[in-house]
Amino acid sequence: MLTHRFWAGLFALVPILGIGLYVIAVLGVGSVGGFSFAGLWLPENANPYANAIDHLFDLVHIICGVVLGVTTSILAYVVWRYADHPGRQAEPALYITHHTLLEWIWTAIPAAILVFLGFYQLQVWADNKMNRPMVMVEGQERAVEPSALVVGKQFGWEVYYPGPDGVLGTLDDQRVENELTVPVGRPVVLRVEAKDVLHSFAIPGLRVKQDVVPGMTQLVWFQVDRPGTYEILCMELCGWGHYKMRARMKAVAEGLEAEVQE
Amino acid sequence: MLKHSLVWWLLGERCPWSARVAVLAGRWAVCGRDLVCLLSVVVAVGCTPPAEFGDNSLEWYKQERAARLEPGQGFPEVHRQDVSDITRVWFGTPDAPQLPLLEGEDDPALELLDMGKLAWAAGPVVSRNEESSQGLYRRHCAHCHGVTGDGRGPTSAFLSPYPRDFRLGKFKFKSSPTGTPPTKDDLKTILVNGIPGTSMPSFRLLQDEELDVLVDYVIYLSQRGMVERFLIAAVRELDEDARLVSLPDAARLRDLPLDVQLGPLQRVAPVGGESAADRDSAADADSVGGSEADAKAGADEDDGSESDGGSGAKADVSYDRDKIADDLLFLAEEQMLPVLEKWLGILDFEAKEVDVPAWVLDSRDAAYESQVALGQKLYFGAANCVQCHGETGIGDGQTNNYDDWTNDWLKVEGINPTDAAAWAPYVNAGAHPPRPIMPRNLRLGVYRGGNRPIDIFRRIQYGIEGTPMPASLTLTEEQIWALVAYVQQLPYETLSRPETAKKLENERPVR
Repeated sequence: MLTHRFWAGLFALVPILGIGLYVIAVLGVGSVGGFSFAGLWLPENANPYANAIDHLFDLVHIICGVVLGVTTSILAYVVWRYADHPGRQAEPALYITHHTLLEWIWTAIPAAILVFLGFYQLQVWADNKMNRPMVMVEGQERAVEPSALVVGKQFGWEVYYPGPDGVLGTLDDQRVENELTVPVGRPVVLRVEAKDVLHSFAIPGLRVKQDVVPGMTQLVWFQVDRPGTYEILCMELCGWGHYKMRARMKAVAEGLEAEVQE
Repeated sequence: MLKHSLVWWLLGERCPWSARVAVLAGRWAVCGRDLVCLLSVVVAVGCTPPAEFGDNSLEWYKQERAARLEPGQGFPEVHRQDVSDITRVWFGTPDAPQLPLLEGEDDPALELLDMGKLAWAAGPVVSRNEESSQGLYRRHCAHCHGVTGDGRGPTSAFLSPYPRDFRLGKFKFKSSPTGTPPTKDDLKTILVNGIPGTSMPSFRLLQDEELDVLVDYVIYLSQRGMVERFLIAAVRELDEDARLVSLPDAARLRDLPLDVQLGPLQRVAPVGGESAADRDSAADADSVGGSEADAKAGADEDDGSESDGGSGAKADVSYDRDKIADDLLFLAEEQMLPVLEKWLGILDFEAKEVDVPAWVLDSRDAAYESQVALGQKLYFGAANCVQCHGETGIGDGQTNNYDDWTNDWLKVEGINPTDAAAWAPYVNAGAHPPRPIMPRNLRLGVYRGGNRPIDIFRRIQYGIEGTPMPASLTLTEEQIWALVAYVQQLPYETLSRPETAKKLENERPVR
């Protein structure tokens, strides 16, 4: 009996482990053999622009989790129910070429979900990728200027600050390798570029992620609400040293100039 | 067949023969299934023997050619063994570093390098605590710079420029004059900032203490490599049939008792590292008395250990303990102390204070324009930068030079770098294929030694050691600052940035 239903058991592991591990990671408690489950999930978000991203992220996970649970459970049940076993009344197998109603259903439901998500996220995309934050300058509303240029290269991040004249790309720019310092509590805009190959500028703690393409200039923006140190990662496989391509972002409440000068 | 050769490839040189045989036997006897076979490979590869420093085979080959030995004939194997044994007892192994200490705990070498730091950097990578790991050098550096610090790590051949070979004791970017080693701060600056324009990344994310540890270990590797090179050169000076240490025939120094191997040297108890090799050497060191007592073999308690060694506990050879101690003392004074003294100089070295002029990066300053004009004049004139960096500064002047690490064998032997057949034997002996050293393109704004004005100033003032960039002996400090101002504005000239010029004509607002 066991051998005949063995495969059904394996199939049943997919929904159990798939959803179980997800729940363990989100809860982040407990440990097995010295391996702690804490910190498996994303770090707490410190970027007010990205609260909506977290909401979308959770929503997509719940939808996918339900679909995964239902479909793989059905699959496991079918494998168990129709497995060969002693005493089974063999029925002839059916060859079905198509089933119009079924096909309509499994096309329409995912399509409806996708269209819903597409419209539901429009504003979030616009806020994070298109509508640059604005500030009031001398009674006029203007887009926030980039406060630093971040250049990805194999394998590290170069950070350029404008220097005393406040303009990037001039003689007095200051370069720091692998460390970015930003102010807390106000919108920050960065220019990101790549020197050699495709990289992706990502700060998981702020839900910021932007592919950077050599020859293109991208802008990213965020606001840090908690002072502290954040991790900057490359999230596009860019070569043998990709794993080394980490940098540090310091969010400081005051004394930004002094920090940068140093 | 493919799977078979894969097994061999996985094992490589890393495993003892017994393990290889076990794997193969396992494969034929048990392994019907791939999984079992794979597991046996994993188990076998786990039994890696302790790491050893590689011999400087390139230097051996170079000296053999320089000695005009018959083609195909090298120095007798016993010389290689002697050098290998002496460097091993003086500097230890990659798992258990040692220092050649003539004065025990009071040795000045211990002021320069910290045994605890060396032990932290050395050895295989295992976690030390939640924050850091043991074996920092192998974790972060060895895949390019090699376990021996020879710049021949597995990734080195893909890189341009090649990773630095520490064994020549030359370092490029430093605050000290040519011919003197870099200070610890100089080396640390390189670790923190990396070397822009090369494959050397920034290690800013390491803890400050870890950086200090790596700096010490790099100096240690450099010292070891320099001493090894001197010992190899000393072999060439030997009379026929003579050896570096007075031993009969094929007897090896490493087979003798440790106190004989150490001769005049003393060992201090290692700090930190917990590897088996450490414990062994600590136990050995305990049994070693004072060096002078050993050398004289006068005291009663030493007689016991001497007869113990003399009777040939490990090797069945007769040897003269005093003679060996004399030989080792001579070698230590001739080949080791000069290296140590050179490095000890950095303890007292203080870089000369230089005031960075306020105008050097400030185009709004009244003095700026005239200084840049002066710099330009010097560039084409007295300083003669134009010869290598070219008329437009893109580094297209003289481009057929080689750096000292290549010239060390290329030029010494008068080899034509374009004749691959001539340098192929050196590449076989461990050199990288020679590549010309390119003068920097000054219009890119990428400066390997750092882009602060003081960095550029040092490069011009002291030159770049190991490269054709010379120290400026005739320029005054004011002239050098004018050159710095001129050079640093080159990347921002319109000529350097055609893309900027285009944008101005037809500018689009950046979203």
